[in-house]
Amino acid sequence: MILFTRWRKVWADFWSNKTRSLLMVSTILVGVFSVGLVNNMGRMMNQNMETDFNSSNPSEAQISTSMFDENWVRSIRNISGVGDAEGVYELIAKWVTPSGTTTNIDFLAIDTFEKKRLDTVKPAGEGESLPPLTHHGVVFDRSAQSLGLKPGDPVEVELPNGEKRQLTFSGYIHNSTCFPYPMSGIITGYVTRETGKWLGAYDGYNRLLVSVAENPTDRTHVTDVVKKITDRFEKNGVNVYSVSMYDPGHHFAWQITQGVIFILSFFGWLTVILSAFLIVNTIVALMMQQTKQIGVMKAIGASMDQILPMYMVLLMCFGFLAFVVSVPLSSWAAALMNSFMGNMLNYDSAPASLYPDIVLQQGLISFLVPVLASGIPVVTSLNRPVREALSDFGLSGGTKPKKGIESRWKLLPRPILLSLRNAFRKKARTSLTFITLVLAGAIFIAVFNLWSSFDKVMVDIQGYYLSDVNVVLERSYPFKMISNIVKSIPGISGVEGWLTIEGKLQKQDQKKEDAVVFVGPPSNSTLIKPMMVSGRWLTPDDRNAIVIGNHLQKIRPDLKLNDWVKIKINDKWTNWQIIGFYRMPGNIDPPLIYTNYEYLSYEAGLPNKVYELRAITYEHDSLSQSTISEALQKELKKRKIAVSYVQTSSEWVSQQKSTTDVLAYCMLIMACLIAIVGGLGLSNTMNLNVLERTREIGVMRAIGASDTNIQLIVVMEGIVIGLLSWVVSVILSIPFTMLLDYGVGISIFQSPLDAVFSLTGSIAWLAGVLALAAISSIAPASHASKIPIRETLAYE
Amino acid sequence: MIELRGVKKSYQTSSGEYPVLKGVNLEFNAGEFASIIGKSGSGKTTLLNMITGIDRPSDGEVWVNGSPLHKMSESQMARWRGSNMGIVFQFFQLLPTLSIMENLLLAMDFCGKIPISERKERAEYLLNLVGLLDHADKLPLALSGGQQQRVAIARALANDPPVLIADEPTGNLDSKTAESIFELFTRLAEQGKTIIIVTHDDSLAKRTQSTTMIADGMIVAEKRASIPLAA
Repeated sequence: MILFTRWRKVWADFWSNKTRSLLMVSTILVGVFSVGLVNNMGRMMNQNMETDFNSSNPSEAQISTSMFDENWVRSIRNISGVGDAEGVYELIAKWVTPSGTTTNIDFLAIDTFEKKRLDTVKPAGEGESLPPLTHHGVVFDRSAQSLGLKPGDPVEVELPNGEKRQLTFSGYIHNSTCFPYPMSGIITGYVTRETGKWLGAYDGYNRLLVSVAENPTDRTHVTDVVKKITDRFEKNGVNVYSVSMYDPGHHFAWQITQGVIFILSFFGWLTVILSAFLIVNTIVALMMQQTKQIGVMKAIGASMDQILPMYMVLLMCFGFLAFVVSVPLSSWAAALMNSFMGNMLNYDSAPASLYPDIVLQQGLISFLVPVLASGIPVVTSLNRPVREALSDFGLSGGTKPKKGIESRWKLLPRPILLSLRNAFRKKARTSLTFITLVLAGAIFIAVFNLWSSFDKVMVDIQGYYLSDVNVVLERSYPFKMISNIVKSIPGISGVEGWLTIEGKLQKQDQKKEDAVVFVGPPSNSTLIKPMMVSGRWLTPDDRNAIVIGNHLQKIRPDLKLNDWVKIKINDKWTNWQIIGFYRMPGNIDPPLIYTNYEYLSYEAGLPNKVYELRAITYEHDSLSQSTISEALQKELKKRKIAVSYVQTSSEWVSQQKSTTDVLAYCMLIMACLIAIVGGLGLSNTMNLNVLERTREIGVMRAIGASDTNIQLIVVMEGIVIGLLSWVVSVILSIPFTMLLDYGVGISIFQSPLDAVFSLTGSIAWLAGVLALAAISSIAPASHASKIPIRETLAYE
Repeated sequence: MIELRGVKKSYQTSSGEYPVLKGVNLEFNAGEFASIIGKSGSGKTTLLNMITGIDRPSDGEVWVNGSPLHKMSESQMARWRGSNMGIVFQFFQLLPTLSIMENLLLAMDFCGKIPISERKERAEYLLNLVGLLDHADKLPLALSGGQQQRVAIARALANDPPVLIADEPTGNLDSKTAESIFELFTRLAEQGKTIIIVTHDDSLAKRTQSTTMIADGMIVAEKRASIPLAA
């Protein structure tokens, strides 16, 4: 087949300048890859998470109660709106892990895995089978695999009454409905009913799993159905202790994931825009190099409609290569990140797959963005009259001599002055590269600032948990008695007794209620430092005053300062006045209401008794906290105090940080992709600048410039652009940080994050941009200094 | 038949309008081997650009074989030029990424005048004519200046145009190579092509059938002699 010679020219242009083609392809590729990565990751995460979650027939609500039996469960299944219900017995015990740390196991006593109707479990891995639930054996959720247990290993647990039992580890299962161990710090474990009894469980159930018949994601509907169940329980003498309803119908991380995906998508599209800038730059340079050839082609008879398709096809060749590489690459990288997130968030990740609509989107970006971005430069070049196209000779770019940098900075060596001038010779090109670098830098710095904002969130949340060791008790104890025990532990400097009680806030219609939790620190507490939004915090004189937070406001936006509300505590309606609003990042359900311990204990009928101990240690490092926590637990056990669980502030912080770090790493990957675009842009500009000045370089060498002189001129030019862009990046990072803090805060923590400006990001980007400038310029500089003078002067 | 009627051309410069051609009236007959001579800056290349349609007159008319070049659009001009006029540039202007053969084929490709099945054969014929068939697959940079100029002439002949225009075709060549190029033009003129060359070499100009002298944008002398071409 005869290939028209014009297409051979297109191929020759593509193939003969491999550096330029590679730059062009990589510039398009970064944008297409970024969008593909983010979209594929979002799609995979959402699909895998929801598929895995829904395949376990998840419950939408869990109700903790006093004991009930199977007849109860059967009758609840007949309540209208209930899809299914299952009773389990839940008990918590402590286990000293192989690494020496103490952790809690949330034991669920069940008949068999196969008989489970809700929150069903799956084998831990593909091709594996469910481990046997043996006599005195225990099975863990696979999110605790990091602890390194193998089937047959002993698991010695300590029951709330202090007794010890030795279980045998049987293996792992996968339950996508439970919180993973790395995030909650609690292992979900399964035992048979008989083993449960051996661990202290009673006949029957203390926890009801409920699945609604329809609209599982409608919180109001689920609440209504749960209300029917709790009403029936309470009317018939079964006490309801708590209702847990995290995000009905969705995996626990679903909401966070939507926020993360939205923000990452924004970064992905920003990368496309930045890469479009670079495409314009490269195309303008390509067309400049081709000006004479276009003139010749016109001179020998080529019309505009013959030449235009040649350049469009050349662009599409670049786009095609970028497309072919980025589609599988982005899918593979997304699958890798999905697998990482799956391990972190406890869902089964599927292998990489291609989604036609995402591939189509990538295709459109690959082909349309280069064509659209280069439309004006290409048409402008093609419209250039033949005479002009053929009349470029000699050295270009000379205009009137300007009194500028040179006259002001006479002390600078002449080669450096030349670099400064060179940097701004191609103003349009330098501007586009500059904008790309500035945006890349501003985002890079903003992501680091976001990380610092996360740290501040941690500090802010810690304001609500200022103690070093928190002890949650199984039942209430007299504070005086228990505080004496705690104070006897060496290393503890002080202790406060808090009360935590569930309540029910009357809704506006006065018929329904919202679950809330009262938290009562002593009126003179020094272990809480809330972030107040409006109103004031509690004073010792306050009696029935409450401070409510953003979580309650979200479900009851009608509540205002000084409003009076009715809250049921232990079946008794009590009146409270709202005196302030606090802000607490994160998802808290049920919402927390703060009031003074003294009045709360009076209203709850528990005067001088406490449910929680908050201890302060002299040393605040994690090792000291752990040591003291161990000693405290031993002493409480010795005194027969039933402890529900103990947590040090270091453990709590590391759990919280594991979530925000995942997010920050995702953002950092996107920031690095944007930095790559910036680097490509600078590299592109430097290569093009050198290429266009080949003849000028030849002249300089002919009049005595050494290799070092030439290299210095080129490298300095890159560094000048890099440094100037850094200064603007730092300034622009301020609004970017505020935007990012707002978006991420709202989507993940339900409230905007406080902006924090750290030096780390600015310094890291300074180092990065200088490295990029040096790397981008060294190759062209070296190339420039190696071209023989004869060739540079002959260069067309 | 090439006819220029009252052709004026001015360029806008930083110091105002600069007239390059100041009302040129000129005729060349079909099959004529003509030369245009003049000093540097006299306007001879601009005059040539008017004839080839590479540039447009500010005023006046240019007719080539009955076609009004001054009325044609850029695209119409390109098509017309491909079929009717071959141009040889002083700096050869071969496309550096295409082989010698491909440079010839490209011209035929754009014009579409020569049937596809005959293009390769014609390109080989033309390269043989200029004595470079053995170099067909080489890139232009691999050839000497004289060889490149001969390829440029072969390319100009690719679509078998009746008119061949050459701007300083021997300006960058040594005398021996220049002579061989001139002989090639002479042979082509003998075959009936209209050939117009711009040169500042009086000795070469004397060997063409007619010589037009331009100075300061005006025709100052015209010499038409019935001299034998090979003289």
